[in-house]
Parts: sequence; structure tokens; C-alpha cells
Amino acid sequence: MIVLREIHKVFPDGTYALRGVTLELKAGEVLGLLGENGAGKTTLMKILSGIYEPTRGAIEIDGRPVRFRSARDAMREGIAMVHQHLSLVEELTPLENIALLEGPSLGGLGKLLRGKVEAIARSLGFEVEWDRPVGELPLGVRQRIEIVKALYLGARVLILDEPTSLLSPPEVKSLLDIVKRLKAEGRAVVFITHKIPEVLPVADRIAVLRRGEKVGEYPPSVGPDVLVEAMVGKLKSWTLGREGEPSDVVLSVEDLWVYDRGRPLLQGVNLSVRRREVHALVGVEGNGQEALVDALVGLRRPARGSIRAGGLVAYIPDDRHGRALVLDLPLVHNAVLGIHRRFSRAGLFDWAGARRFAAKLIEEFSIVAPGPDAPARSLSGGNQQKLVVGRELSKRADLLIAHQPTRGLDVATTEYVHKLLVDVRNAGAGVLLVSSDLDEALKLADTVSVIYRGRVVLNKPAREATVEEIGRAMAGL
Amino acid sequence: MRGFLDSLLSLAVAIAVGAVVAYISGYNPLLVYYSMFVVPFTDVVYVTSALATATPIILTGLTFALGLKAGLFNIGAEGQTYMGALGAVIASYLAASALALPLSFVIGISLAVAWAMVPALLKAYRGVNEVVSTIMMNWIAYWLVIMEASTTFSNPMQPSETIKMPPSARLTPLVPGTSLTAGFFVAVAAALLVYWLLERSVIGYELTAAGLNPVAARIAGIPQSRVVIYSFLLGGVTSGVAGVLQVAAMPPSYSLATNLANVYGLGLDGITAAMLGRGNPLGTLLAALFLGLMEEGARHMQALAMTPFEFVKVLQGIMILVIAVRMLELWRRR
Repeated sequence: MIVLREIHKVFPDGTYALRGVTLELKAGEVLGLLGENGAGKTTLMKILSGIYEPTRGAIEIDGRPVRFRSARDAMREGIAMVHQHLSLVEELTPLENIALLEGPSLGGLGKLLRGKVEAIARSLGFEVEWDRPVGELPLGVRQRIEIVKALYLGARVLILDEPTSLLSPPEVKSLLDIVKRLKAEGRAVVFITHKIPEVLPVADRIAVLRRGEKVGEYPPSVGPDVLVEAMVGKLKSWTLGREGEPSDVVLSVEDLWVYDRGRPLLQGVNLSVRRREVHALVGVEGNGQEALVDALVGLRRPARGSIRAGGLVAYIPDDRHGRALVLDLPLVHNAVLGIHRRFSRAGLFDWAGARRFAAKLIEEFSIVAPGPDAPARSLSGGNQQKLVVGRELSKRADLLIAHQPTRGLDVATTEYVHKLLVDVRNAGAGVLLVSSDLDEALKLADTVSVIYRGRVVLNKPAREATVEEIGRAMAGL
Repeated sequence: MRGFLDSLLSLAVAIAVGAVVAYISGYNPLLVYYSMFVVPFTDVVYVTSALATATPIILTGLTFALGLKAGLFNIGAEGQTYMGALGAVIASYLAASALALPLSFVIGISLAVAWAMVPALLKAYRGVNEVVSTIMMNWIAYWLVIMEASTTFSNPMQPSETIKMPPSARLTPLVPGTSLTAGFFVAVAAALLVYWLLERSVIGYELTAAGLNPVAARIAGIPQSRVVIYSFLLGGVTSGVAGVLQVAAMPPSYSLATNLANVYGLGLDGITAAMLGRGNPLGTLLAALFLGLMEEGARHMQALAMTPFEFVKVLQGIMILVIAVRMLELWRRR
């Protein structure tokens, strides 16, 4: 039995990924690990598989404390992880990929290795074309090769990170069969996912993480509604001081289709946002909301449909490091990013003005920073987010697109950002809030829409929507 | 500041490794470094010669530094320098008076910028990798300029050279007997100007931001196309000036060698300078001066320590390797 005890993980950038999670794993059991992106599932499992070291907390195997400094250490204890992005050399055959693990000492890729891996595959109920380059094999097969690879190394605990994300429905079905066989062989399997229907038929026990904490453990018999609630938040709604009613439209999206390499991400989305309205678009992540936001801010070209945005658009992205900040530049530079042209004096930068503006942001949004010249990287995650939010709000835009604006923030900062969003709405702008946190959405929204598999499946005024129907729509029921 | 210390440390490591290489190759390391770093300062002729050597490297270094700032690998300084030099030759052909000097800059810079714009536009609007396209443009320029220099503009009196700048249009040595011309101050001024532009102008801000985070820049309304075009445009100007100066301020011949001897390799030296200077224009200036000093020292090294000329190239190579390793490490840590 493996126990993860009170695991905390704080990343160097200040993100608090795990806040004291305790989890047990037993042989011959399938544990479903459920949670939104950013809930900490992958981080927790990377700690178990030796890729990260925990900031605090302990790992015990059969009552004996262990410490993993690398994935190799964890492997020695029989713990292996199959990553979402597979790590096979595409030019080599599956057999050669597995032979790589043996290092240069392997005398020849002889019959021994082949016999062994074929036996493993057979025991799991499938066959692999061992002599074709991996690059020519479908993703589902590559995943099986990864599983064989882990078992070849003697894995007793197998962690599958979002294993279905790349698979077609029939492939998903045969993956689930393999998981059942692994279980029958007495191995422990952790199945990480945010898709509830997939985990229900195989899991013996389901642990749900939210914002770095374990919300609870459930038997699969509790059904999807309870799990959705556990994943996205306690299903209660309370209101903030809302002033005025929604008026004219500032964003209208009609019949929007977006493809990614032939795969449809959006399938005819219709959506509108009005002034004095917080329109919350909720959905389990990966159902097309990212593609919609990308299309709205011009990072993705729609295949069909129209987007009409009236006036200035402000954007708070979900990935502040990648999209909103230039971490290597000072706070001042970041404070004016996107509105920097306002500081142009005949082509020259008005740095004095920019510094005054940055000082104002620091003051107004209580950003804790050594000063305007400190690199953005040196700020904590929460303060970076306040900087981004402050900057975007100070644009006084007609439309604000806020994508997971409170992810990774502590409770106080989250409340503060919520208040700011409602202030923006009350000041007459339209807000499109894209969130997978149902608490947040219902607290702030005037209108709520649910996106599922690239379609808006529900759209109604927030006060008329019941939490149950939203939860069911999110789960695709 | 930390970058500067980093560079110094890299230099120290390179010098130490170089000393070992010198020793095992049978040369006296002390004598090698004495002739390299001390002797050049013992005579004003040596000092000015080092500065003259550094002049074009400052300018081509700025081209690469401007690319680095914007996150681009602009290898095109080499070819753009050839085109600048060709511009000076064309001006000498068109005007036989002092007018040839301003005309050199106009034609030389225009040609160099035109040469830079081809890869810039390909990158901006078609996503063509700038490394490939600039190298290709370098070779096109190489053969084109050789052809022009040895046919249309060849000097009937001296077949290994083109026609000379008209005497009144030449930038002659400021101190007679040395090779220091006003060209050196043009290059220093260019470095200061580029530094100032990057720090103080809106476009400089946009280049810097886009170089460090292209996605965030794009969302902030800084299109990649604008960044590429400005970076290459400014880079084309500085390389063009380098080419013009290699003709107009190059005593005693004031012409372009038909084998391009007085422009060949400058773009590549510029890359070295910009890397040593970590993409900072002032760092590039310092690094180019250092490279000029090394080049001058190499001559004395040959005479005093009996090393072959190539030995300096070995030392340079070691330095770049050390710095490249350091930079990779910094990138990886992000």
C-alpha cells in the first residue's frame, strides 16, 4: 500500500499547487483521480512518480518512508507514469523503444526482449506491430506501448495521465479493458481525468481534487452529479451588488466553427454579451472554451461564422505567464503592455508617464512588489495576476474577456478579483467570464451558458438556472 | 550588470582554456597574451588599427543584436555589408566629386535594406525561417557583388580592385599615419543610437517585448510582422553603413577588392560580437572593440610568440563556445 501524506507543493513562481493532500493507493485497485485542470492532479501524480519533489509531506510504501529524487527512484519502487504527451522515439520501432531502457549493455535486441514484451502485451489482451516505426502507429497503440514499457520495467503502480484525451471512442473502450486486466493482475492503477463518464465504469474509488485540495473520495455509485459538484465547487449561489440591467450588445458570435487539424473544436457556437452583463460560459475544460477565446482575441482563425465586438476589448488570459506578461521585463514594462501606444510621444516612450501609471496600478490594486523596476518574474503568482487584472481593467474597455481569472489565487485575492469584475460590469462594460468553477460563475453571472463538446448546450439567465441542470449540461447528460 | 560579469567570467574561462591550448601547442602562454593584450597599447598606430578593425564589427554586430532583441536570428549582416560596399562603389562611379560620399550612404544603405527586406517580408508574411533565407541572401550577394566588382565597376589600372572613391569623398585618417577615420565614430554613434532607440522608443519597447514573449506581444497588439520588419530594417541600415565605410574609409585603396577581401567575414564577426555582448548594443560595442584588439594582437602574436594567425581564431572559437554554453544554460532555466 502506498500513502501520500499531507503533500504540499509550491512552485518557484509562487503557485500553490497542492495544499496538504493525503491519498492512499492499494494493490488491485483502480483509483479515479478527478479534477479540473489546475486542480493539482497531475502535480500530485508527478510527485508520486518522482518527477517533482514535494515542498512538504511524505510518501510511504508499506509503512516505510521513501524519498524520490527522480523518476528512476520511483521506478525502482515499481511506480510508473504514462504521460499525456507520450515519450516514444517516433523513428524507432516499439521494440527498439523498449530496448532503449536497457541502455548500451543490451547484447542484441534478441528474442529475449521480444518474448518478454509479447508476453506482457498478450497478458493485457492486445498485439502490437513490434517492427514498425512508432511514428506510423496510431496514438492508441503508442499508449499501449507505453504501458508495456512500464510493465517491462516492473511497474506495480501505473499512473495514466489523461489517457483518453488523444483517443477515439473505440480506443477508449479497449483502454478501459486493459485497465481492468491490470487490476486483475493485482496492480494499482491511477486514472487521471476530468471526464466523469470515462472513469465511472472502471474506478473502484474516485478521489476529487479542487484547487489543490482533496474534496473527498467517492464510490462510483454516487453518480455524475455529485462528482461534478465536487469537481467544480459547492453548488450554492450568492450575489454581489449588481446595478442596472443588461443593455445593448457588445459582443456577438454567430455560428462559429473552429477546427484544429481537422478536428472540430467549435461546432457552431452562438453567443452574445451585453453591456452591464456578466455572461459566464461554463464547461468542463477541453470542451472548446479555449478555442472560442483564442478566436475572440485573434489567435485562431475561425473556419466559419462571425465575431462582432463593439469597441475596445480587454483580455485576462488563463495563462498569465504565456499570454499576459513578459516575465523578464520589469513591472513597468508589463503594466503598459497592450496600452503602450498611449505612452508614445512622437514615437518615443514616455517612461515617466508609464512609471506613474505603474505606481497607480500598484497602489490601486494593492500589488505587493519591490517597485516598478522589479522584474515581473519576481512577483508572486497572485500579484502577477493582480497586475494583469489591473492593467486590463484600466483600459476601460467595452468588453472584458476573463478566462479563469482566479485560477491559482488565494481566497482573498479571488474575492477581490470577483468584486472588480462586477465593478466593471456595473460601470457599463460587458464581461465574458470563461470559467470551469461553477461557484465563481454563478456568483458573478447575469447570464450563464454551458459549453459541451464545442456547442453551447444551455443558455439562460443565471437566476433561472438551477445548479442541477447546469451540472448535468456540463457533464453532457 | 550581471550579464556583463557573466561575459567577463566567460572570457576568463576562455583565456584559461586558451592558455592550456597554447601551452600544449608549444607556445609560451604568457608571451601569447602579452603580445595580444599589452603590445597593441604600446603604440598609437596599433591602437588606432584595432579601432579601425572594430569599426565594421560594431555595425554588423548591431544587426545581429537587433535581431536577437526581437527573438530573430538575423545572419544576413554579411550579405548586407557586401551590398553596402557595392553601393559605395556605384556612387563612386556616378559622381566624381565629394558628392560621392553622401550618395554612397544613400545607395549603400538602400541596397542593404532592400537585401534585408527580402527575408524580413518572407518571415513576416510567409513564416519563412530567417536563418535559411538570410544565409541564402548572403550567397546571392556574394556572387552578385563579385560579378559587379569584376565587370562593370572594375578598375582598369588595378584588376584586383574596383574603381576608387573620388579623393574628395574619402574619409581619410584623422591622425596621419594611422588608419583611424571618422568611420569609427560613426559606428560608435550608431551603437549609442540603437541603444537609445531600444530603450526609449515605442518600437524599441515592442521589439523587446516580442523578443521575450511573442504570444503575449501579439495579444497586446504587437504583430510579429511589424517586429520582424523593423528589426531587419534597422539591422540593414547598420550593416549597409559598415559596407560603405569599408570602401569610403578604407585607406589606402578606397575601393572594393574584387575578391571582397575588405568586407568578407565581417557579418560573421558581428555575430560573435553580439553574442559576446549578449544582444545589448553597448555590450556589442565593447565586444567588437575587444575583437578588434584581439585581431590587432594576433599580428603581434605572430611576430613575438610565433603563433600562426589561426591561433586567434581558435581562441575566439573557445570564447564563443564558452558563452554559448552559458547562454543555453540560462535559457534552459527559464
